[in-house]
Amino acid sequence: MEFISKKGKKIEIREIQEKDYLELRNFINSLVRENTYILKNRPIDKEGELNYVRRCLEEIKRKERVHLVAVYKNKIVGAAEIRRKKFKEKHVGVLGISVRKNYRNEGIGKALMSEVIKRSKKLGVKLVILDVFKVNKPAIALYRKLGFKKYAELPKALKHKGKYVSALSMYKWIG
Amino acid sequence: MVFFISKKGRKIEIRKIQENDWVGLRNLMNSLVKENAFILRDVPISKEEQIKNLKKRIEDMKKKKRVDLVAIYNGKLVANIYIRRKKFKEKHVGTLGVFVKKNYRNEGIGKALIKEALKHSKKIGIKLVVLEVFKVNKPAMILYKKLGFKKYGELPKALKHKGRYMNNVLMYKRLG
Repeated sequence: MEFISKKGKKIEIREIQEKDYLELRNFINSLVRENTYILKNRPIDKEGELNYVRRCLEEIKRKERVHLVAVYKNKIVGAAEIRRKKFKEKHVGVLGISVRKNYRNEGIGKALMSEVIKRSKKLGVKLVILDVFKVNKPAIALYRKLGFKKYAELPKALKHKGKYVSALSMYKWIG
Repeated sequence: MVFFISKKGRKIEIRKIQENDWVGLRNLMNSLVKENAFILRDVPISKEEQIKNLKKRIEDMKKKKRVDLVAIYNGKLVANIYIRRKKFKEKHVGTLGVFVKKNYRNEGIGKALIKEALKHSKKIGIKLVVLEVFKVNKPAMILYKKLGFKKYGELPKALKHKGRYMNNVLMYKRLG
């Protein structure tokens, strides 16, 4: 699908493909370098990224995952995934989302989230959960706007830029 | 390796997992699945899966990515505990899971295992241990509280157990 961002950019949102791995690696490593509010703190190499993408594609085939990218002029500027849990948590999906630095605050994250949630619902996901750095206020504001509620807060859950920071956990029932 | 005498007078050995534990571990897990105890798994684990799973766990243990202990009574594996270290910015956090066979509960085995595993995980640099527990599993929650765990969240309808949605309680304990 396509949508026009707040800044007038024409963005395509689609499922990941194997050939995305190099561009996806560029994207992830740009976030690692920026040391933004993501868990990863070291870059990934080509082989690691290819293996990761292949594993994702297998999970997508087994209907255990939805994984979307936002593409602008052949460049990946955002990604969102929902991974379905197993066994007695099969109805629970864990959401992850990230947007490239100069593409934030123009609605790309919101569009990615709405789409990934819609598609996960089709797989039978009824409860979507996510974790967010407590200091990441714009993200928390977006999640709230989309109907997510806080259900947990873990003090010193993360070590970010040499400091311990708290993590919030949020959920949304979509069943 | 440590020994302790349970409340029922049984001499229990606590030691690290070994490659040949796959039989005992599989028996333990599948007995819990059959019982439909307060665990996440709801399908039995196959022999191949268990062997592969155990190999990975032993490798991770060597890399100090996890602590994994079993309780043995009369040569029989009756309980298991793990604390798995997270990655990246959560490297100081360990996730705990503990499993005790039906007829060996309420005699202090879980407690002894948790204490021992916390000690080991502290040694490998884990500073924060987290766990999740079915809200209806009161004995477990009481034990965790007694051992210093505090609740930090609750997820409604987190689990489907015996056809019903139920809540999960999240707890944490800081180590030294």
